[in-house]
Amino acid sequence: DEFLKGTQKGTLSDESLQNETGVDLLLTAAYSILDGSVDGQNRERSGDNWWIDVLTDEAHKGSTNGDQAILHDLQTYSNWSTSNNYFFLKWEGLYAGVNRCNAVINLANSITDVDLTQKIAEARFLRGHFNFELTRIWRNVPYIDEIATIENPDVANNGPLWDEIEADFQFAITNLPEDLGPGRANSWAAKAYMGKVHLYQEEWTNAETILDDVINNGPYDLNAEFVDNFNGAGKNGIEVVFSIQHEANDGATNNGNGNKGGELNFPGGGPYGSCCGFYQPTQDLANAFKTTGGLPQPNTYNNSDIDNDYGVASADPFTPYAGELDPRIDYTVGRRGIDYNGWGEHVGFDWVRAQADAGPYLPKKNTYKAGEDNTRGTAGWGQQVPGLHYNVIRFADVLLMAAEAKAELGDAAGAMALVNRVRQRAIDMTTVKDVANPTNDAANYSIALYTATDFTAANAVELVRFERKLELAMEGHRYFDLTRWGILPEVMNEFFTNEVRTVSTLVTGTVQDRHEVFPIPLRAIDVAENLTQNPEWSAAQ
Amino acid sequence: QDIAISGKVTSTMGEELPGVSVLIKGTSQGTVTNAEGNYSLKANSADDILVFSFIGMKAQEAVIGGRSVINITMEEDVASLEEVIVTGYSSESKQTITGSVDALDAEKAFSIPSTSAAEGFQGRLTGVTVTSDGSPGQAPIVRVRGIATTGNNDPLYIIDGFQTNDPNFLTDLNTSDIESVTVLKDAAVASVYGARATNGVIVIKTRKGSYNAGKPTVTFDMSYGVQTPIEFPDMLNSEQLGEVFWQSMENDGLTSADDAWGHPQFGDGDTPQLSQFMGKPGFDSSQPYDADNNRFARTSNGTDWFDELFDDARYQNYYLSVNGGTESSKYMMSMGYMEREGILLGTGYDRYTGRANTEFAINDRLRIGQNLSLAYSNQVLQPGMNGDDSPIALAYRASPLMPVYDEGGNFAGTFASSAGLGNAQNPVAVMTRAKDNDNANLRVYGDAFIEVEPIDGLVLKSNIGVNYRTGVGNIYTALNPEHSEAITSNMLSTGKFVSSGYVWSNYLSYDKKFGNHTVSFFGGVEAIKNSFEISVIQQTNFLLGDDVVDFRLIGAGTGPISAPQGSNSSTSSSLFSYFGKLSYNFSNKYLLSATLRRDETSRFLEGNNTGVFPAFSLGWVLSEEAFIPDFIANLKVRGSYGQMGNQSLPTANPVSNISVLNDEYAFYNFGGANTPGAILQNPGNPNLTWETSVQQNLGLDVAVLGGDVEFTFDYFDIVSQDNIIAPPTVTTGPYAPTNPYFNLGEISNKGIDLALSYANNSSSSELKYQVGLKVSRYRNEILKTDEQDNSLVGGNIRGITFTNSEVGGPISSFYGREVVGIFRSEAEVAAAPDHGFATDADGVGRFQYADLDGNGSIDDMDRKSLGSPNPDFTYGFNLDIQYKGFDLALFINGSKGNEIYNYTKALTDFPTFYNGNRSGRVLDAFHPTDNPGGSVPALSQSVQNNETQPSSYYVEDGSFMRLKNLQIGYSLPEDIISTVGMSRARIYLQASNLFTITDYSGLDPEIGRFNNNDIDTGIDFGSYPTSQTYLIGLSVDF
Repeated sequence: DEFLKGTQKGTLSDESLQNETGVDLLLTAAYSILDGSVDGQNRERSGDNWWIDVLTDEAHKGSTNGDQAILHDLQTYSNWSTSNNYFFLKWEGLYAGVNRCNAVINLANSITDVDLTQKIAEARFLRGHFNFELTRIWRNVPYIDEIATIENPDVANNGPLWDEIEADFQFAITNLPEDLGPGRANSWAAKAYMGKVHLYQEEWTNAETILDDVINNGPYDLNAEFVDNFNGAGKNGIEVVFSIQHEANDGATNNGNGNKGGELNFPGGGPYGSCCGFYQPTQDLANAFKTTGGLPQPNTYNNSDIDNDYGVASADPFTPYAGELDPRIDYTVGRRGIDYNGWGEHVGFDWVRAQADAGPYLPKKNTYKAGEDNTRGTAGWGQQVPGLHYNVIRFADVLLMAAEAKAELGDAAGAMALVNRVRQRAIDMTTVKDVANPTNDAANYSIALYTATDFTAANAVELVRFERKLELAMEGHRYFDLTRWGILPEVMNEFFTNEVRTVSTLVTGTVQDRHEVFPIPLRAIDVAENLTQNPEWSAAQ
Repeated sequence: QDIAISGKVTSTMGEELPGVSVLIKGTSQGTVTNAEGNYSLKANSADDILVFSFIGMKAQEAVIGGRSVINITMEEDVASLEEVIVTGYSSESKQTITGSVDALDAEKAFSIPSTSAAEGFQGRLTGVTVTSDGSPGQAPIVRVRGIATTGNNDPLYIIDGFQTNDPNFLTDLNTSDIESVTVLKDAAVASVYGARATNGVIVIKTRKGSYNAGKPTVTFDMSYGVQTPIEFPDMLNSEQLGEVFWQSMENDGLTSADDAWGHPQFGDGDTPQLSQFMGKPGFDSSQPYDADNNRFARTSNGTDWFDELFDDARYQNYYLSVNGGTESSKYMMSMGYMEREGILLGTGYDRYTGRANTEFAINDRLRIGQNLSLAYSNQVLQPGMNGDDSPIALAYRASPLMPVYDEGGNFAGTFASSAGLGNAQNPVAVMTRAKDNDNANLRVYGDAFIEVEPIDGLVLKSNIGVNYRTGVGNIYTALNPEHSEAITSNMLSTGKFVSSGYVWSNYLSYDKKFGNHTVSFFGGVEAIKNSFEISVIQQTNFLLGDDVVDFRLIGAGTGPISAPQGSNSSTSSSLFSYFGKLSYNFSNKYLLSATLRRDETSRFLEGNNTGVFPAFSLGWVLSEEAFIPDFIANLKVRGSYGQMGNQSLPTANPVSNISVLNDEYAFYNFGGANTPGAILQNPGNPNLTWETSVQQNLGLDVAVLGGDVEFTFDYFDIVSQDNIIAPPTVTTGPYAPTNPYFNLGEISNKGIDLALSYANNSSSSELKYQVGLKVSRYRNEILKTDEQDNSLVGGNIRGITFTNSEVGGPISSFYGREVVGIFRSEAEVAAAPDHGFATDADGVGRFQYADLDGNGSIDDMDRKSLGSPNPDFTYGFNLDIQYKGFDLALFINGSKGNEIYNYTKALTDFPTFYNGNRSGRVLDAFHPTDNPGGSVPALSQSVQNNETQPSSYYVEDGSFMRLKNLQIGYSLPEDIISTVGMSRARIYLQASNLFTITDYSGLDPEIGRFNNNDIDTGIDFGSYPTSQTYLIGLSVDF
C-alpha cells in the first residue's frame, strides 16, 4: 500500500491547511489578487482600472493607435467586440478573486475549534469588492458563492448583485475590528465601501448616513499633501480607506507584488528609460483645471484649450499656459515645461511615445516620484512594475461621495462644506515649483473655496461631480461615474468633438447608451453556456 | 552414413526452435529438432549439404565440410505469412494471432533521416497518425486509432523491457538500433497493458546480435546532406505596403488634407514616398551613427524576412555497430552521432547515442540478458513556436521597411512606436540572440532480465527496466535596444529536471501442444513507479553584457535570484498489476484467446483505484479448410472485444485538493511586509477513476498468389467512457480554481485500417520489387461532455477561441462565422441580414456572413462548426525495386480531408498589426472602382466587421500528398569488396520531401499543435516548416 502512494512534494494538502495558518495563507492570496495579477496577462486585469479610464474623457490609451489595437477599438468606441480580450481577461481576473475569497470562507467554515469569524469577514469584504467590480462593469453577472463554486458551477447571470454585495459588506461591518493594520480590511473601510454601494444604487439617504458616520466617527482625514496619495512616502497614510498594497523589489519573484497591471503606463521615453507610453491624460482633462477666481468652469472649460505642445519638437521653443490653474493639475497631468514628478522639466515630444496619436500629456499619479527608487520595479522587457499603492477608496472620495448624496438630497450647504474640505487641502498643499527657480510656482495657480453664492441647490450636483473629476482624475473612477450618472454618451461625444482640436488624428465612433455596460465576454459565454449576453450587446455587430 | 552431425537451431531472437526440419539436400534423409532446438543425424559425406527449414523462417543450407557440430540461427522470413509478431510480453505467430497489429519494415522506415522514430511511423503503420512539424528535436504527436480523450492520448511505448508514455523516448532512440516496431491496436493484443492501453501500444525491439554468428559483424553507416526550405509565402515589399497604407486611408474616408493622413516612413503626400533613413526618435542621419544616441538604419525597400530567417542546413549522421554471438552469448553494441541543423536560423539538434545489448545462455535452461541505452542530446531552445510572437509569426508580421542591420552594423529594429514599423521584433535578431540557449538532456535507460525454463515449455522471466533522464535548460533573454519595446534588464532562467522510473515485471509462460490442440499461457505481476522533479531559478542584470556567453551562469548576474514557485515541482506515481493471457488453437484453424489485467494505481483513491480489464478474441483460419481453393495461401477472419483504461491525467494528483505557495501570484505585501499566501491550484475529486474504453475489432487477412499479394483489413469501434473532464465554469481561468476533474465524457472512434501489398517473391526474376499501400481512417465523435453537454472550448490567443467541439461532432472543431462572400454594393448590404454597419456604404467591401439562426441579424449566435483537423484518411504508398546491385525506394504519404485553421491570415490579410507586413493576397483586395471583383475585403486602417474573428475564411483544406522519400542505392559486388574484407557496401543518394501536392496556402500543411492539447490541433500560427533534404549515404559491413 505504501507503494501505491503518489507524492506531490512542495504542495499543501487540505489537512495541512486545516488550521488558522492555512486560512491566513488563503486569505493573503485573496488580497494578492486585488491587483488582478494571476499570470502573465496583467494589464487587462489590472486592479487600478487604468484601461477603463481610457474609455473616458480623462485619458487616452497612449502609444500608437496600432499598439494594443483592441484597446484602441474600445477607447474610440469604434468596435466593442464581444470577444475583445480586455473584457474577458478582466472578467477572469475578477472571478479568480471571488474564487479565492470563497476558498477562504469554505476552509474557515470547516474549522470549528477556533473562531475564525474575523477572517471570514475579511474574505467577505474582498468578495464584496470583486462582486462590486463585476456588477458595475457588466451589471448582469452570475453569483458564485462559497458553495456554488464547485457544486453548481454553471449558474446563470440574472442581474446586479447588489443584495449579495451589501450582505458581504454588512458582515464585514459587524465582524471586523476598527483596525487590522495596513492593507487589511476593517469595519470603517467596510462602511465606506457600503456607502459607495448605496451611492451606485442611488440610495442617497443610506449612502449619506453611513458615509457621514465614516467622516465624523472614523479614523480618516485628508493628507496635508495631495501628492502623498500617489507616492511612496505617503503609503498607508491617514487618507487611505482601502488600498492595493503594490510593492516593488520586496523579493517576490518577478516583482509579483508590484502593480503589474500598470506595466505599460509609463512614458515611452524620458526619465525612467521606461517602455510603453500608455495611459496619457487628455487635453480635456488639462482644460478642466482652468479656474476663474480660483473656481472651476464646469460648463465652459472646453471652450478653449490650454496651450499644449502637440506637434512641437522638443528642440523647438514652447511656453506653458499662463492662465489660472487649479494646482492639482500638476500632480495629475504631466505637461511640457513643468516639473515631472521631481525628474525635471517634461521636455515634451521626446518623452511621449507617440504624440501624434495620443496627445502631449504624461500620467503623473501612477508614475514614480524622484528619490523613491524603492518604488521602481522593472521586469523582463521595458515594462515597469511600480510599487505605488492604488487607492480603491481614499478619504477625499468618501467626502465627495457624501457630498454627492447630500447634493442629490437637496442639502447644498452640507455638500458644499465637504467639497470645500477637499478644496481646502488643495489650497494648503505644497504646489509644484518651477524647475529653474524653485521658489516660484511652476504655473499660475489659483484655487478658492466655494461660497453659498457659487454653490446652490441648482448646481450642487454638477459641482460635486466636477470636483470628483478634478480630485480623482486618473484614479480609475471616471467611467463608472459617467455611467451611473447616465451621461456617458453625451459627455463622450462632446469630448471627442473637442479633443480632435488637439489630437487631430483622433478618429472615433459614436458613443451610445449600450456602451454604459460592457458586453459579457464571448469566451465566458462559450465556456459556460448558461450565461446570456447583456441585451444591449446581443444585437448585430 | 558415418558422419555424426549435431547442433542447435535458434531464432535471431535467441529462441530455441523445436520442430525445424533438417534434411540432407537431395535426399529424404533427415530429422527434426527437439524441444530445445537440438538435432543430431548421420550424413553420408563431408560434401553433403544440410537444409534447415521451418515455417516463418528463411530456409538455410550448410555444407558439412569437416564439422561435427553445426549450429544454425534462422532468420525470420519477413515476407512470409508465418512472420512472428512481437507483442510485448510475448511473440505470436502471424498466422495464429487474433489481434489487430501492424509491423513496420524498420529498415525502410528508418532509411530517411529522422530525429525521432515516430517520423518513420508516418504512413507506414496502419491505424497510426503522426503529426509533426519540421522543428529539429521535437517529439512528434503519435495517435493510434483516433483521439480517445481530451486528456492524454499518447500511446504506451514498450522499448525492450521498459514501458513509458513519454514520447520524448522516440527522439532519444537511435533509429539504426531498431530491429522491429509493432503497433498493438485492438483489445486482443493491447488490453494486456490494462489501464494504459486505450491509446494503443507500440512495441519497439532493438537489435540483439545472434547466437553462433561466428565472427563479429561491424556495420558503419553514414549520411551527409543538406536540408533546404521548401517554399516561402508571398509577402509585400515596401512599395506595395505603402500602397496598401494609402488605399487603407482612402477607403476609410481620409484625404491628404486630413491630419490623420500619412505614415511616418512614407510621408503625407498623395502617394507614398519612401523615406531614406529610419531610427531612434530624434536621429540625425547627417551625424555619425552612435548606438546609444543616434541609432539609425537605411530604409529597406523590402526585406524578405523569410529569406533572411531560413537557410540551408546541414544534416549528418554516423553510426557504428558491432554484433555477433557465440554459442552461449550474443551481443550488439553501437554508437551514433547525429546533427540536424534547423533551416530556421539558430535552431538545431544534435545527439550522441550508445547502446549495449547482451544476452547469455548459461545453459539450456537459463538465460540472462540486458539492454542498455545512453542518449545525450542538445536542442537549441527557441522562443515559443506558437502564438503571434513566434519567430515565424514575426516573419509574417515584420515590416519590410526594416532592414536586418542598421548603419552601425547592429541589428535594426522598430526603434519606436512612432516610426510606423509595428511592434514585431526583428526576427533575425530574436533568433540570433537565442542561438546559445541550450537544452541538454541525458537519458539512461535499459533493462535486465533472467529467464529460466525449469521444464520444457515453461519459462519464468524476471525483468527490471529503469529510466533516468536529466536535463538542464538555459534561456537567456538579451537586451534588444533597437526594439520599440526594448528590454531593460537581461535575464537568465536555468531549469533542471530529473525524470526517473522503473518497471519490474515477473511472469511465466507455458506452451503445450497436445495433438491438434495448442495451449499457451502467460501471466505475471508488475510494479511501475515514476517520478519527476524540476527546479527553475532566475537571475537578472548580467553586467558583462549579452555578448559574453561564458558568463551566462546564475551566479554571474547582479540582480535578485528567484525561484518561481509555480515552476518548481516534484511528483511521483505508481502502478501495481497482475496480468494474464490464455490462448488456444485447434489445428492452427480455430483460434481463441482471452486476457485479463488488474491494475492498482496511485492516481486514484482506494475504492476507485483498482481496475480489471478483460478482453477476448476469436479467429478462424479459413485457408486451412478444405473448401478454400489452394491459390488462397491465407484467409483468416478474426474479431476481438475488450476493455482498456487510460490513467494519464493532466495533473499529478487529481483526487485531492492541491494548494501551493506562490510568491509571484499569491503573496501580498501588507504595509511593507511580504506575507506568504497559498492558492488552490487543482481542486480534487475523491471519486475520480479511470477512463475506460470499450473496443471492438473485426479483421480479415488475405494472402494469394503464394503470398505475393497480401491484404489486411480491420474495422474498429472504440468508445472511451468516463473520460476525465473538468467541466467549464464561468470562472475557468489560470489560478482561478477550475472545476475538479469528473468522469463525464464519452468519445467514439470508428474506422478502418487497410494494408495491401504485392511483392514478386515467388518470381525467380532478378528484378525484385514490392509495392504497398497503407490507409488509416478514423471518425471521431464526441458522445458526451458533461451533464449539460457543454461544448469543449479550446484555448485562446488574445481572447480569440479557435475550437469549440460540440457533442455529435469531432474533437477540435473550428468554430466561427461562415463567410458567404464580399459585399460588392450598397444594395447587397441593404438586402442582406443586418451586420451592424452604421450605414450601408460602410458594409461595401466587407465580408458577408451567413445568418445561421435566421433572425435577420449577424451576431454571436451565427457561428458554427467549420471543420476539424481530423482527416478522412491518411495513407502511405511505397515502391521498392531491386535489380542486381541497384535498389530504388520511393515512399509517398499523405492526408486527405483534414482542415487547417490558418491563423497567419489574421496577421497578414487584415490590419491586426497595422504597420506590419501583408500577404500578397491583399493586392487583390476589393476596391469599388479599381478592383470590384477582389477576393479579399477592402483595405482599412482598422479591423472591420469582426473579420479577424474565427470564420470560414481561415479554414482551409489541409490535405496533402508528399513524396517523402526517394532513394537510389548501389551495392558493390561481393567479389570486389570481399577483397578488402567487407561483406556489404552500399552507397545511396536520397531526397526527402521532393514534392508536395497541397492546396494549403500556409508555409507547410504538416503542422504541430497549439497548447499541447488535442482539443486545439490543426491551428497554424506559423508552424516550423518541413524541409527538403538531399543526402548521400554509405553503409558497409565488415
